Amino acid sequence: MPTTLGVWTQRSRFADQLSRWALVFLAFSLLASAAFGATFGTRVVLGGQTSDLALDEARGLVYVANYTANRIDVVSTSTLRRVTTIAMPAGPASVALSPDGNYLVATHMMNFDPTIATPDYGLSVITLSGGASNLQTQIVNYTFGSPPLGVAFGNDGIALVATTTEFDLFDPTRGYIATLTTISGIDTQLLPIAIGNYPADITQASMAVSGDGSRIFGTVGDGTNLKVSTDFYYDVPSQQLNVMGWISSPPMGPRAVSVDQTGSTYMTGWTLNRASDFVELAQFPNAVGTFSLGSNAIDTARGSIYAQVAMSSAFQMWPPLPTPYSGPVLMVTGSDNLAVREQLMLPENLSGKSVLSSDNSTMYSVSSSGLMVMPVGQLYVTQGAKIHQVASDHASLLFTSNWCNSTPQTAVFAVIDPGGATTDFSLYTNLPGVTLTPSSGTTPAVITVSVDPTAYRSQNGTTSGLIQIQSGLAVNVPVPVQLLINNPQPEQRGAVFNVPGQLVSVLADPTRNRFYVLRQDNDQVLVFDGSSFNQIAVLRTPNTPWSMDMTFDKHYLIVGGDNSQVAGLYDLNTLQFVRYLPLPYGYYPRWVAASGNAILAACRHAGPIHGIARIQMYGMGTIYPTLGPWKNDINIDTAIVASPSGNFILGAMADGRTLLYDANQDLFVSARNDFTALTGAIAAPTDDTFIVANNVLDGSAVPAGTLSETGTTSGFTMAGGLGLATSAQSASSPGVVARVDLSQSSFSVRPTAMTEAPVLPPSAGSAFTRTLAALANGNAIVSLSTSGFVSLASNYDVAMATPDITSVVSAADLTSPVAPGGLMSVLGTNLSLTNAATSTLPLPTALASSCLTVNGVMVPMIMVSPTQINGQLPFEVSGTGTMVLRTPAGVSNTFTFPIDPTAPSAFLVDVPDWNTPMPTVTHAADGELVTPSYPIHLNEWLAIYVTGMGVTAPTVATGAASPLDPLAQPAAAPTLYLDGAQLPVEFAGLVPGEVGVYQINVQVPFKGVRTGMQIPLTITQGGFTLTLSVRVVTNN
Amino acid sequence: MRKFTGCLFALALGGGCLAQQWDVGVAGGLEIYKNLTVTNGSDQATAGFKPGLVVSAFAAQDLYQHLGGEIRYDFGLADMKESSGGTSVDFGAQTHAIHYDFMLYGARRDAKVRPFLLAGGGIKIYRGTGQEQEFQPLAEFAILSKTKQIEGLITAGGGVKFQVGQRKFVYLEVIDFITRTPQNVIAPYPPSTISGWVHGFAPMVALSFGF
Repeated sequence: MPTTLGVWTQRSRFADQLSRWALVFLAFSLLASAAFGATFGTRVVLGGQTSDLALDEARGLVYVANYTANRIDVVSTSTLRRVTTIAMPAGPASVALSPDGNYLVATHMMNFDPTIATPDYGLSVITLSGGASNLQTQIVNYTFGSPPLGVAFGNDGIALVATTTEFDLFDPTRGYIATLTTISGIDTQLLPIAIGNYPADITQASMAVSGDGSRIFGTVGDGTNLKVSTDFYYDVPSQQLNVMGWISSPPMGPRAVSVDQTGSTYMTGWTLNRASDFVELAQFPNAVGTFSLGSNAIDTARGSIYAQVAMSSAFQMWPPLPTPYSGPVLMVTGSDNLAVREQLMLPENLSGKSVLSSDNSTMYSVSSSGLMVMPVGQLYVTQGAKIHQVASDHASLLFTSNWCNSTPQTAVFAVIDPGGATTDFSLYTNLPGVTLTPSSGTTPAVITVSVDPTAYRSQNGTTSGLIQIQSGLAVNVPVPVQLLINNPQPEQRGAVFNVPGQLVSVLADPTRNRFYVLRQDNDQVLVFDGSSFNQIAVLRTPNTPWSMDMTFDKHYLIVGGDNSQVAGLYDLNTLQFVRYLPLPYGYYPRWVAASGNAILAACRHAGPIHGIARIQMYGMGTIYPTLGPWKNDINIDTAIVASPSGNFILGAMADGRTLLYDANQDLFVSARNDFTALTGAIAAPTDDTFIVANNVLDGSAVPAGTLSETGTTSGFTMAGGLGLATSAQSASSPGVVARVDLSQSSFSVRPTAMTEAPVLPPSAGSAFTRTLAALANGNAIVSLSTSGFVSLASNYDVAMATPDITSVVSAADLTSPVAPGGLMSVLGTNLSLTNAATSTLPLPTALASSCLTVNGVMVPMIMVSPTQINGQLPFEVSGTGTMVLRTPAGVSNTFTFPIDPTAPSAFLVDVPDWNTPMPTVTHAADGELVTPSYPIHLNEWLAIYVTGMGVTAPTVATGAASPLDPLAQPAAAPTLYLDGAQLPVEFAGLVPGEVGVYQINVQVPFKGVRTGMQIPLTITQGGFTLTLSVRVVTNN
Repeated sequence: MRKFTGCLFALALGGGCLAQQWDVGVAGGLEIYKNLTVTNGSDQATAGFKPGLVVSAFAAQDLYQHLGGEIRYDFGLADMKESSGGTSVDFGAQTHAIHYDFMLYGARRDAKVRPFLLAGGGIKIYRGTGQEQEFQPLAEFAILSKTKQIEGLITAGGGVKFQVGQRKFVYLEVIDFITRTPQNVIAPYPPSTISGWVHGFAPMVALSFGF
């Protein structure tokens, strides 16, 4: 083998050169990492393309099959350096270590086209002795009649060897090979192959053993047809081999297999399967099936799976990033449904099998450069982690504002490192009017988010945006924080509840005071209390849930999804998962509906023909061979819903076709093609009326009319004998909820604006939506919406009198005209549903859901009541004022009124026991009010408080407290006379800290003023004169 | 002639001549006021002054055997008061009066006991001195005010003048101080009105020294 050795040496030198360049590259990478983030794991560059690995924890070594280098690289787990190599007769495709650590078995396989080169394959047993520092090896080679694809040891110390023609049991102690069974249809790619293929593309095989060593699993390929694969598991105690052939699209890549602790589930390629019957529990969406890209490992102890899968588009956690991270990513998912919890940026792609250390702290994976070592245990460290991560403690922030509210709103969230490390971060948002303080720093940090609602005045629904998180140190792909800014008009109905995630369906429990919400991104059913709207439980579902329904007895909840062969069954009394309800292989139950007879599933099929299946409560469901006289060939996007009586199930397809299943006869009694396309709400409110989009169908699914909805319909339900339909133009527009009288042939609707839009198709993946539910307690209606859900009182549209403005006067005396910046009173009827007042500064422009505008400018308000609203006339308005009031009861009449540049008016104060209010003329000495019993004395100082003195210099923002330094003085100076004697004005201007209140300080002369009970005091400003009557007496 | 001249001298010089008939003294007593009626529509209240200490200083002279006169200053401490129904209000006040009274004696000047009647006039100053408040109870009738007002004064009364020593006299007298209502100090609040005059009856004891 000198030639081989010479080649290795040459490669070794080249590899060393590569290493030096790699160091240079690494240095640049580290410099650049501040901007683009760090990566998770350490590459061990081995100078070849590796195909398999085995972990020898006792010696602290990893044996990596370096297929193209014809050797096994022995890497220290402590130094992550190659300590030695073991030369192989040919490219090692697979390696396995015996449970006692004495034998390393490697299959080698160079399956050349005999017409081009000599095939070379066999099995080598390497007897190991010594430790990591003095490892000694003895190699014995065995020849095989067919290419050995993989090898794995069971806990009995016997290796299972999979070849292209048989499964063999191999005892390394005795060198004994026994054929377990033969198999056909298994092969490798024939060598030579085109450049750009890798070991996994060649062998198309991977094998792994459960943590307890009791079951060996593997996946092998067809060699030429990449979509054909065979899964098998070998039960070690019983020596039973179970085999399952697959045709999968895309191919089942990455070609890597991992097994849980007991061998009950295994992962191969992009699927998670149940061992007992090979049922696919979950799969990654958008996989492309590349054999040589990705890996997986099941961490049973933590309920996690670490996986990389090649995808057609980068996997997006919720909320999705505008520009997803496109580099290599290790996903951390749930071990039951592949719900992705976290994404970690890898320095390079994984490309084959992975193994976990026995304490699950470290993951070793075959990778592009050789070996990748990832400290996955650090992901669960909450203090003092050795890796950096960055995350937000809030998935989303909802700012529920009001169309008239001009006051910035704030909320806080924390940027943290889940591992407790100090990690840098910077924040960015794409929404206008949003400020983040601070916008960068190190974890942990509390971020204040301030939203200027005036930036969203044109939006009456909910605007959605993101706060993106970046970090130079963090190894995870930071999940952005969703920002939701709800800015409804007062008359829009419903309270918004923020529920993060992609919510796709809602279902009210008719017997329990609950409702269920399907959260698709996290594969969950969220259970909410129907009275408090608090979330009370979470149920984990199959992957990418699309729909749910209750069994007819209301005992169970069934959830169907797009990326699981099973539907989930949940006990609604205990709120516990019961079992999976499998569908036939290749069928994915997107929509489920439970009638009084059958439970149907509208399934996407991995093949070209999608169909309706019947779910079995026990055992595997069945596909209807026909739908009565019609082919069981439905559109891939077919939704089904059952009527409340359980007598019918309506089906609707995105291509415009409809179906009707009669549960009593167990027959499909109608299948029609009345529409060219359908999208929107689907409901079966009664046995003889069905809703699809804005179409009303009769009891034979014949179109009977349309609902005059605007936009796209989203939900439909029955409440109080009437139908309720929701719709919207877009996710950011206001929603519309409408009463529908189905008993009338016109199906006329009575629309009411909702605070935000309902969830619209196809955001949930389907053309159809079920987003509206009337709760069993009869008190509320829940509509899934942009921010979560909107709760509507059942009497949300009870008739309320609209506001009517009859006059606008100075708030000081309720008679004088108004001037810019002055306090005014709006008088009328039905101005507010309730009484409310505020002392908040700046004054809010929304109070008790009532909002006021003058010439389009928001009016800061102090008090609202049914007959009077007090506020500040904005400084910005002049001339003729046009006032509009918006309340939950509706929009007022448009009221016009004159605006004087200056119109001082003194406040009138009700002094206890005085029948007549007193003007706010006060004694400067003690601040007491001038009254007949405390009259003005000659020569004393007075402070007079008025409003309506107009604009000031410097200007003061409308609604804001007046400044102390500098004091704001009116542009037009006032003159004052008492009984004809001019009073010298010491000061006139806004009272610091107050809104719209002016103060005039004057001195009463010592003589020249009559005394008496009613002496005229006049204030003249800019042509406007205010006359007050005061009592003046001489000094005693 | 000499006698005549002496009398003429006495008439011409007045005080010098009368100086032999003067006595000066101080008096003290209690001034008791008559209530005033304040009317506000059909409602009524009483207003006025509470009984208060009054002190005086005076100089009296005998003009003739049975006619005399005195010039007198009186200082009164009589709080104002107002009441209606179960409500009442007090307000600090002072009065100052300066008046000249003629005294008609029933006995000759050398008599030890000389009953007399008096009548005169002058001015009386009312000063409200209480604490002003934004609202004063019963203000709908009249407001007791912290201000001052001068009113013309009429006095009437009578008493007995005793000679208790060679130059010592004691007066026992009662004087009614009569003025118009001081409507700035006790200010009727429109549309209320006050009717009547202020009568302050002051029984006093005076001690004087003749010279």
